[in-house]
Order: sequence, then structure tokens, then C-alpha cells
Amino acid sequence: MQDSPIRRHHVQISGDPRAPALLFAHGFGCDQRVWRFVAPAFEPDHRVVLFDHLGSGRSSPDAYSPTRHATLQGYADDVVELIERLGLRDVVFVGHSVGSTIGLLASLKNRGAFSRLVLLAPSPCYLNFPPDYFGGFERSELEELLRLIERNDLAWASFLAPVVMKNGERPELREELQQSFCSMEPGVAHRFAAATFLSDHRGELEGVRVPSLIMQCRDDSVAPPQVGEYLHRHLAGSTLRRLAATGHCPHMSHPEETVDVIRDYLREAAMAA
Amino acid sequence: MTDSIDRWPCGLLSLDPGGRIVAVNRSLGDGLGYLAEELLGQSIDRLLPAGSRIFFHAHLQPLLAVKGQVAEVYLPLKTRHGETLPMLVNATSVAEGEGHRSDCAFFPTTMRARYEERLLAAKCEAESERSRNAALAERIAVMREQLRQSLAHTLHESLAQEIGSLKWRLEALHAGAAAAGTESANELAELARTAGATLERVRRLSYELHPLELQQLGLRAATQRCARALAAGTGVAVEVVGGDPLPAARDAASLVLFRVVEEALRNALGHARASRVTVEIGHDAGTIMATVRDDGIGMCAGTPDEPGSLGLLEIRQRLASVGGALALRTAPGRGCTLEARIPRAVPEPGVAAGPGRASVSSTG
Ligand SMILES: Nc1ncnc2c1ncn2[C@@H]1O[C@H](COP(=O)(O)OP(=O)(O)O)[C@@H](O)[C@H]1O
Ligand SMILES: [Mg+2]
Repeated sequence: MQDSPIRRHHVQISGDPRAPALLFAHGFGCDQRVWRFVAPAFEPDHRVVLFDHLGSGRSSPDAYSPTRHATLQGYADDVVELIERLGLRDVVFVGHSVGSTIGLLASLKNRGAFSRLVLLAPSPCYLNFPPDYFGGFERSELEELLRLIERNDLAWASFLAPVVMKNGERPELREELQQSFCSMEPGVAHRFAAATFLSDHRGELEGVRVPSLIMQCRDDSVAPPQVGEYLHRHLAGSTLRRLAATGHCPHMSHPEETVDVIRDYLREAAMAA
Repeated sequence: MTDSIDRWPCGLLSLDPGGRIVAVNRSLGDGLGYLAEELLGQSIDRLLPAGSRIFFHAHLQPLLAVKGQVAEVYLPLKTRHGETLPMLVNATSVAEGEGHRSDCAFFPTTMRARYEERLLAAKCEAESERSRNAALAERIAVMREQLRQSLAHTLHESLAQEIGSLKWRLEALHAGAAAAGTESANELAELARTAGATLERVRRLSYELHPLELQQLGLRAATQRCARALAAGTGVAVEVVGGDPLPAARDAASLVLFRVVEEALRNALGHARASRVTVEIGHDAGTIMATVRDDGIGMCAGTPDEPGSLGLLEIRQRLASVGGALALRTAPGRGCTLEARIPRAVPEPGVAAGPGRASVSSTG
């Protein structure tokens, strides 16, 4: 039971159990609670499934593996396992930021499981490779991000962590750390950030067969417009929607528009089918 | 901003839901080389170096939206001339119309940043020192066990064999003498008995040095046998549970677990005045574990480390040497539950790769 992916990922299921499944995957530095303004809108006509990536939110700390989760493939394996264990079919996968890359990779591992991919502020690669590709960042800038994360670890978690991790007699300490939103154990955040921001998954795009919706925000300084266009060109069966929403987290800053765009897309998809 | 706030000794900044600057005080503008007016209406991105920009949008903003506030976050800002200034920020999110306004207070932290830099370096140093020590401790533990194992082996295989055959020959001599009615018969019988007792003691010693059967039978069966031996004659019901096969564990880990269970059993049988003791051996995703539970008198948690009481202390040390941990749940009159957990894989930065099977070389 400790081993069940449902427990491991702190899975929360709501909505109509007979309706099509919507699986929401959060991005780096967050947890499933980021979907709180968006997910409820789908409950009347979907089975809504929320989960935390291992190492994030309230996932079980013991299940996190520094080797498995050193790359996004490990996270994608988790998603496939989760879908299989929940017995979901024709899943509409909604991923934000790196969550969307994880969804793309997962769709290559189990080709039958997904019906649609909804990609919120996605990027297959954050690095610049001039002259063909501009992910938005130089390597040195992303390394600066890693140092920043390390620094913010230092501020609180790493002083607490040795106590938390070593102290089997006081599991409540660990619990407390887990409860705080978006918190990650030191090392985990750093490793997840490295897997997210220093990887290059452009090569995998051509293999993706599941139709997708790319939701590109205005003024997104993490995933710039040319990245959305690149994805659109390289993902077969993709639709590109430019949002009025600004920033990198439209599901938090502009939930109504986010819901509407996803709804419209799913309605059109249903009609086309 | 009002005049006084404008000059407060910290940077103040308000952002609209889209991340645009709607208010900023002069102190912040000055620090970054801007007139406050120049910044109004600009995106916060203008002030964020790349790393801060990602961190802000991917982590801080959602955090603010859900929690309503963040404190003491390290978030460097960028001056007009592209220099990076280390800053700490506290921020709150205030509902405004449809969305949320974020109010941020920035504190330059140049001096502190330098300390932190050093602290971070020292921490890395300590970390690698610690992992070297842990690796060393594990190697020492392994070598000690190897030595014990090889002694146990010598005792068990050659010494015990020789005493055994001595005993057998004495018995044969005694039988002959007894049949012939020789008067040395009694003495031979006595010698054979002594040889038998010595043989028993040598076997015991060998076992205490190292449970050879751990390798032969595996952890669960060896534990079962150990529990039966210790419980014999005590009248306490000892049960070993846990049905499914154990995943392959490192030798060092199963030996530690075995020793821990053994000591916990001795305690439960020797101190607890228990009527029932349950040993459970199991595993989950990343750990193997053993639980020893008794229904005895219990004790005050936190006080068992009396001088002269080395059992629990040694349990802790053994567990630590393989990256494991101990949880002791007990209270007077409430019995005692001891739970030992050992990670199946070697913990990340710590202990070096698992030791191979301890070799059984006879050292002469
Ligand atoms: N299961 C138990 N039930 C009650 N008391 C216990 C139990 N285990 C240990 N103790 C108490 O803790 C003390 C310390 O135990 P330990 O460290 O193993 O040393 P020792 O067994 O040599 O006394 C014991 O002397 C006993 O008083
Ligand atoms: Mg003892």
C-alpha cells in the first residue's frame, strides 16, 4: 500500500467517474494545488485527476529516487505508471511548463493512453542554440538559476533537512515540511531544475502522435513566443493558441481564459471525432 | 509614494497581476540606477536577471497566489547597468479587482550574501567530510565483520570439527572400555562429556562472533532460528512474521538488521517481562525494515542510554553505519516497539557503494 502510485503521488480524484479523464500535471517549483482555480471547472463533465510529481508537494519522500528523477524520463515513467495503475484510458493530459514536456515524453512511452495533450506555456528546451533555436536562455543564465535555488535551499530547508531526514523518531517534522506549498527538500529542487532547464527534448517531438493544444502566453519570459511556434511546427496535429494572458502561469493569473480555451479545444476535438 | 516611504531604507515595489510595476519607492530606484518614474508601467522582468526571472515566474508567483505571502526569499535584482545585486524579498499578495497585486519589500544583502557564500562552501566541505567519515565507518564495520566472520568460520569448521572427532573417539574408547569392564571407563565417559560441552561452547562462540547461517539461510530464516534459540525456556511467545520474500539487500544491511533484531530480542526477553514478542521483517519502496514489538513494562523514552547499557547505543551506531535509522516507541507500562529502517540503495551523498560479500578466507 505504501508502494501504490496513488499514495506516492498524493493523487486526488474528483468529478464524474464515468466521464473522460483529465490528468493535470504541475510544473517545476509548484505542486497540484496550482490547479485549484482551473480544475473545479471541469468536474461536472470530467473525471479530474490531480497528482504531485515525486519530490514535490505531498508526494511520499521515500519514493523519490535521485537516479530515476535525474532526468524527465523518470517523471514520464511515473506518469505512465500512474495512468496504468488508475486504469485510465483516452486521457486528456494537461501539463504546465515542464509538466507538459513530461506529458509529451509519457505519450511516447504508452502511445495508447492519451487522447489529447494540452500544453500550457511549454518549452522542449530552454537553452539557445543559435542560429536555429532560441529557447530564451544562455547556459550561464540557467546555471545562475541553479545557484539561486541552492541559495534559497540554504535559507531554510537545508538547515532543517538534516534533522528531518535523519530523525526517524520525529516523522512529524518531515510532515510539516511537506505541508508547505511548493516546498521541496534540498537537492530535489536543484536536481529537478537541472533536469528541467538544462535538458533538450526537441529530438523527441517528431515522434509524438497525440494531437495537442499549445497554449502560448503573452510576454512569457520563461517560454517565449518563438518556442511555442517551434513546437507547433514540430508537433504533428498541434493547434497553437495565443492567450491574452500574460506571464508564465495563466492557470493562476487568468483561470477563466485558461478554462475557456481548454474547453473550446476539447469541444472541437469531440466534434471532429 | 508618499515622501517618507519613498526614502525608507528598503526597496518597495507593487506589481499588478500581469507583473507590471505600479508603484516603486525612490530607495529602490536609486539602488538600481533608475528614476522611480522610469520604472512605472515596466515589467518586473526588467529588474530580474535571467535566473531570478525563471524563479520568480515559475515558483514565487504561484507561491504568492496560493499562500498569499512569501518571506526571506533570495532574489537578486539587476541594475540599469546590468550588474546583479543580491537581495532578499518579502512579499504579500493583496486581492485587487479581478486579480492580485503583489507588494514586495527588498533588502540588499551584499554582506550577508558573502557570509552565505562562505557558509555554503563550508557546508559542502562538511558534507563531503561527513560522507568520507560515513564511508570510513562503513568500511571499518565491514572489516570488523569480516574478521569476526573468518574467526567464526575457523572456529566452526576446523576447531569444532577436531573437538567433535575427539569427542567421538573418546566415546568409542569409552564404549570399548565399558564392554571390557576396564576401570578407566568412567573417566573416559567424563572426558567425552567435557569434549561435548567444549564443542557446544565453541559453536556458541562461533555463532556469537558471526551468524554463519545468515548467508546460508537468508535474513528471515536466520532471524527465525535466532528467535527460537533465544526464546527457548523463557516461556515468552516469540513470533516472526512477514511472509513475502525480502528483496536482495546488501550484505552489510541484512547483517546490521539481524544484529539489531537480536539485541532487541535480548532486551525484550531480558528486561521487558513481556508475555509476547513479535518480530516483523519487511520492506517498502526504498527501505528494508525490522520491527520488534513487546507487550512488557516499557520504559521512559529518552532515558535508556545509561552508562553500561550499550545495547541500544550499539544498535544506533550500527544502523547509522549503513545510513539507517531507529525509531523507539515506548512508555512505562505500554510495552516497547523498536523499528529499524535501512535504505535499500546507498543514501545519496553519504556512504560509499555497498560492500561486496564479505570474503570467507581462513586466516590460519
Ligand atoms: N524492551 C524493553 N522493555 C523494557 N525495558 C527495556 C527494553 N529494552 C531496553 N530496556 C531498558 O533499557 C536499558 C538499556 O538497554 P540496552 O541499551 O540494551 O542495555 P542493556 O541491555 O545492556 O542493559 C535496559 O537496561 C532496560 O532497562
Ligand atoms: Mg540490551
